[in-house]
Amino acid sequence: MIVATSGLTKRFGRVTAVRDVTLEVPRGVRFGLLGPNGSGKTTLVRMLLGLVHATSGSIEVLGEPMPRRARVVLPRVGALVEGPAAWGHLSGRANLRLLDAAGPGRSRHRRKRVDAVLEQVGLGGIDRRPVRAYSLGMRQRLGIAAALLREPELLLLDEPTNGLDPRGIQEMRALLTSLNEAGTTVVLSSHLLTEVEALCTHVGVMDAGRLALDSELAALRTPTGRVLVRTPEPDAVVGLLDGQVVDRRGDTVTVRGVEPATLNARLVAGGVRVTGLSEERRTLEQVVLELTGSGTDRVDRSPHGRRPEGPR
Amino acid sequence: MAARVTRRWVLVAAGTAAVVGAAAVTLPAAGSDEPAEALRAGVLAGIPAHVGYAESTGRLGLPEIPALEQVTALFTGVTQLRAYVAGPDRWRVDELTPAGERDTYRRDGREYLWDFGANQLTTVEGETPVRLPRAADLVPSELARRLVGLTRGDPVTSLDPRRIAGYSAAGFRIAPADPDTTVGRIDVWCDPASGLPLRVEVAARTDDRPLLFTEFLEVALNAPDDRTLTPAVPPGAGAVTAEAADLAGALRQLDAAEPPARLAGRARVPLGSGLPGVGVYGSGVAGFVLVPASRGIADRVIDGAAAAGGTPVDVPVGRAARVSTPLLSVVARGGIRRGGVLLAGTVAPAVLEQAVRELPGRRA
Amino acid sequence: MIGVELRLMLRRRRVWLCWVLLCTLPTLVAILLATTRLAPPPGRGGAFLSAVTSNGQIFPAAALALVIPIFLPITVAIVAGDTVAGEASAGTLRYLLVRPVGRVRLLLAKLISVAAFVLLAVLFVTLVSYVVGVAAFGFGPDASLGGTGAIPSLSGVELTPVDVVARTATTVGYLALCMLALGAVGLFFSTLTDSPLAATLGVLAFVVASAALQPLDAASAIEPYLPTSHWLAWIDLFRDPILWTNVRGGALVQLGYVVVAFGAAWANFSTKDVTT
Repeated sequence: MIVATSGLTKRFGRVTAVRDVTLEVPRGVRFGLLGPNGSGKTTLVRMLLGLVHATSGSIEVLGEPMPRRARVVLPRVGALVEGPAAWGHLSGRANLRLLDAAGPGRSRHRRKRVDAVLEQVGLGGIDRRPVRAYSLGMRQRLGIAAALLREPELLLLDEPTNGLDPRGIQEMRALLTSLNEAGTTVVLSSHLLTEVEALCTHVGVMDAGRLALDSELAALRTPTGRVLVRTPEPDAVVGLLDGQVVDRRGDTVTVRGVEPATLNARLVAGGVRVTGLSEERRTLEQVVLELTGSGTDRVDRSPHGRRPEGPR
Repeated sequence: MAARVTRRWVLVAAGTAAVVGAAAVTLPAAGSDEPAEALRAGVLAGIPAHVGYAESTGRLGLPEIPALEQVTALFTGVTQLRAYVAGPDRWRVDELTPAGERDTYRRDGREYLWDFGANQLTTVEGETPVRLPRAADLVPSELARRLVGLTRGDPVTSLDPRRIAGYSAAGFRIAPADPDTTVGRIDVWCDPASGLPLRVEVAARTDDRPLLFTEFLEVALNAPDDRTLTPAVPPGAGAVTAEAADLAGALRQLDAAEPPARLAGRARVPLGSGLPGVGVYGSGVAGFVLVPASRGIADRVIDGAAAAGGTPVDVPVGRAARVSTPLLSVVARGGIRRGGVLLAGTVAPAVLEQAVRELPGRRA
Repeated sequence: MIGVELRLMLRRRRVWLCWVLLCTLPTLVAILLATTRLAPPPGRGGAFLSAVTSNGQIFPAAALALVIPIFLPITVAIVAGDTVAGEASAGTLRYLLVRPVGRVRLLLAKLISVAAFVLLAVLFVTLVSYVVGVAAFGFGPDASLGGTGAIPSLSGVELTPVDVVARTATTVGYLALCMLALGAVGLFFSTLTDSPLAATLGVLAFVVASAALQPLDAASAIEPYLPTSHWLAWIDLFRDPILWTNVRGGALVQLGYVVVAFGAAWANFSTKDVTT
């Protein structure tokens, strides 16, 4: 396990931001931490990095206890926490050089190292403009470049695609996938389902400070037992399978209670033309919606007097 | 976690306490079995050569007396002093001000005054039997010598030793017996080995807190080197020479009458050289001085006294006012010849009032 | 990390602005004095101001006395208040900590950068005011007579050039220490809040409170422990012989402040949750 927590709890005063989280991330995976805003994702990431001290519970990163062994662990971890940040009066390159110099390690090849990560995130050609003048997307790329300095074994990225345009998101996805294939474990948190679904092999879902789910993505997407039929003659399908049709939308008809093979045979026997036939699988969205309540940015009138919880 | 946080703060608090404690804690003073009488005799026998830094604090609550601001400041505030004493006639005392200093040198029978603010060195030739108090009088050794000398016959008792400027100082208290003086006690602490006074406190009869106290914060029993005792005139500074007798000349201008032989039942102390119109009456700390003043100064003091909480005094001719503090009484009277007089001393105000009434009024 | 801190400080426009402003006030005073020749009477106005018109070489002392009560503390408050809180509010603090930079090392580097700031500030004021003073008022009365333009001490004795340099260097060191004590307090305040402005105002409140208590008789028991009580003790370095009592005492008190404030900053920051 590259990250393992057990019974991790963090309270800020009266608010419990993370509650009894036991999380395990295997080495080499792409792990997505999903959850609505205020569900405790960021606090969890901060605790993994030793920025926030746990109220109770234990953390191991790269097999070492945190934050006690931060000095050994952190040089092998690259992180992007709650958005990028930089000294606004310096250029991106100067920022990275200073950040690199601030940490442990030798200054040899610093220039080369900085240029290499800038190239990786697509900022190879940046000029001497101060970061203050950067666009949101450029700052995001710079933040990721900072995380990539010193070739980390573990990348902890909080909302890595914030502020990027679709092309940028695509590039980032490709970058992370290739890094992962080269052996880097990627842990990213996001409130965007598509993001996690498109990139991750494993997924954890946070809800109101709890870890509601920790699973392989493939295992989540179990068949629902329903079959989707695409046909130019939906009326014929409905006529033939009356009572078993659950839903009809355009040329797609959802049928329940039938094996795909059996269904196919019956449709063919009934002379219905079929353009496509597939098992319905649960989307991640369904899973998440089943598991989670609303985030903290929505404040409902609560009949039970229970307040939504989250970090301050 | 919480325990770790507290532990750190406890550590910091302990460190703070240690730092403050190291500064505040003073070593206990070793006792001395020297009898008080012997300590007094030691001070009277003479002051050893020393170099030191002293602070004097006055809390007399005197109002500003026109033309005498520098003198009243000595008794109403903190004065920082540096003393280099080689002997009674060879010394230098610096009065340190926030942005300058006024240094008094004495050597070869002359006095030199260096004032940084005025950028001037004044050489004073000669001496007068009576002069205004000055900063150099407040150096503990000098003040002790003077006060102990004035109270030779008064009873003396022992005080608890104190730690002063690194010395275990033995203390003695003199309580003046004269019923008319305002001085309740004079406490002196001195180094029993050398007899160097290190701290002096003067308190009034009516108030137990010391109203004037001066103490060496640092002192060494070695003679100052000659270079230190040599006044210098930097380029660009003025150098003037004044005769001490100039003061007498100024007094002569006032055309003051010869002071009476007795005032308020006290005999006039004979003064050596002539300071016309000036009289010193009484003995020990129950004495007062009569100084003629120009009419303008007397009037300003009388007017100022009213504002400073003084009380008018009924006199046969002219007008007069009294300013009394627990330790020092001052009476001013106008309407004497062409000017007025000032009376000041560490005596009960009633004594000064009586004295000022006895003064003859304007000549017919 | 220390090198990084120093580079960061030297590349901040605010820092240079502070230095420029610090040097501007004495320059302005010098120009006004030189054009009007209206020096304040002795004993009034700023320390040494009455003497500078006759010898420009004294002007550094007058300039230091001018900037010490308000200007210098303000700049120190700005820079020290920004140390940790500024990184926190910019978000760079978390990236430094996960780099990783040890928290104690970070605080130490910040303290050293504040020390460098105050040292350079005092040094710049001294150098600039020397040049300005000599340009405006000349080398002093005896220079025109072929002398060396010596500087008199407060006690009237002339100081040799070597002596002047040594005493000035001690003054610069002493004042830098005084301001560093304030900077350490600022560093502590800066770990308490995420707002640099709040930390800066905290430092200024501290200075004002200290200056307000200082003249009170009722506060005489704590007066020696107030930081502002010692800010003018360096004047004793220009007496002859030098009066070390107050300078030594002042230096010890200021060192005490540095140690205690840094300790408090450490105690607070070591286990603080970084949530910005």
